[in-house]
Amino acid sequence: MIEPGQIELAAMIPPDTFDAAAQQAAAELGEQGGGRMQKAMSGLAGQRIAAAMAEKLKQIDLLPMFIQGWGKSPEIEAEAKASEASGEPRFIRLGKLEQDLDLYPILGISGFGLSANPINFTLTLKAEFEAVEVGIEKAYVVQIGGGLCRLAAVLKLGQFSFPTGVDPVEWQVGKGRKFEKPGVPLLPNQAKTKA
Amino acid sequence: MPVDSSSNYLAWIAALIAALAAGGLALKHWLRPKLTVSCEIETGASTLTTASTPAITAPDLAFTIRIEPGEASAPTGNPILAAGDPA
Repeated sequence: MIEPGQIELAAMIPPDTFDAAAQQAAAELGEQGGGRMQKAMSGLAGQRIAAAMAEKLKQIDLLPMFIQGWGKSPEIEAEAKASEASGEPRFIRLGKLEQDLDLYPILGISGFGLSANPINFTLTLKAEFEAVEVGIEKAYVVQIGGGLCRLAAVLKLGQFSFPTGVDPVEWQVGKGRKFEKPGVPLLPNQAKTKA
Repeated sequence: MPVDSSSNYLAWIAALIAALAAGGLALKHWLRPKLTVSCEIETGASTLTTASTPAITAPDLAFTIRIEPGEASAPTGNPILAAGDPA
C-alpha cells in the first residue's frame, strides 16, 4: 500500500524498460536451448511483465529499507547507540547521503502446461538524501521530515543494463512520515530481532 | 409341441440387436474420453501456433513475481549536519 511519504518505485521505471528486458530474456532463453515454447512465452510476456511488475513494485515500501542502511554509517550508529543508552528521543539532521539498494525481482512464466525457467532481474536503486531530519528513539527511527530524496533506478538482466531513460525522481519529504513503533531499526542486531 | 422356426429366428435377431445396442453404448462410453483428450491436444497445438506469432496476446500465460530485497549500502557523504535532544 502506498502511504503518505512513501516512495513510489513504479514511477521511476517505465513499461518500455521492462519490455526491453523481457525481450533480452527471451533471446537468452533461446540461445541457452530454452526451446520454442519458452522463447514464445517470454517474447509475449514483455508488456504483461511491465504491468505486473509495476503493480508489484507499488507494494514495496522502500524507505525503511534505505533507513536500515543508515546505521552502517559510524556517525549515525553512534547517535543510535546514544539514544539506546539514554532511552531519550534524539533528533539528527542528515547532510547529503548517497546510498545504493538492490532488489531482485524473480519472474516465473507458465502456460500451455509448461513453465519457463525463472528470469532473475536486478533492480539497482540509487538514492540521495539531503537535509532530512530524523527522529530516533532507542536506536529506532520513529519519524523523518523535511529535506528531499532523489531516486534513480537501473534494471539489469545478467550483464545487460536497461536504463530507464527518466530523470531521477525527486521526493520532497516535507511533513515526513511516522513509523509504527518501535520504528525502523538502525542497528543490525535490532533488525535481526525484528525479523 | 411344434417349434416355430420363424419366431426362434426373430428372437435370435432381437437378442442380437440388443447385444449390439449394449455393445455400442459401451463402445461409445469407452471412446468418449479419448475423443475429448484428442480435442484438447488439438486446441493446445492451435493455441501454440497462434502464440508464436508476435503481437498477439496469450491469455493462457500466467506470471508469478517475487521480489527479494537486498541490503542497502552504507551511506556515503556527509551523514550528520546536526544532532541533539528534541527542543
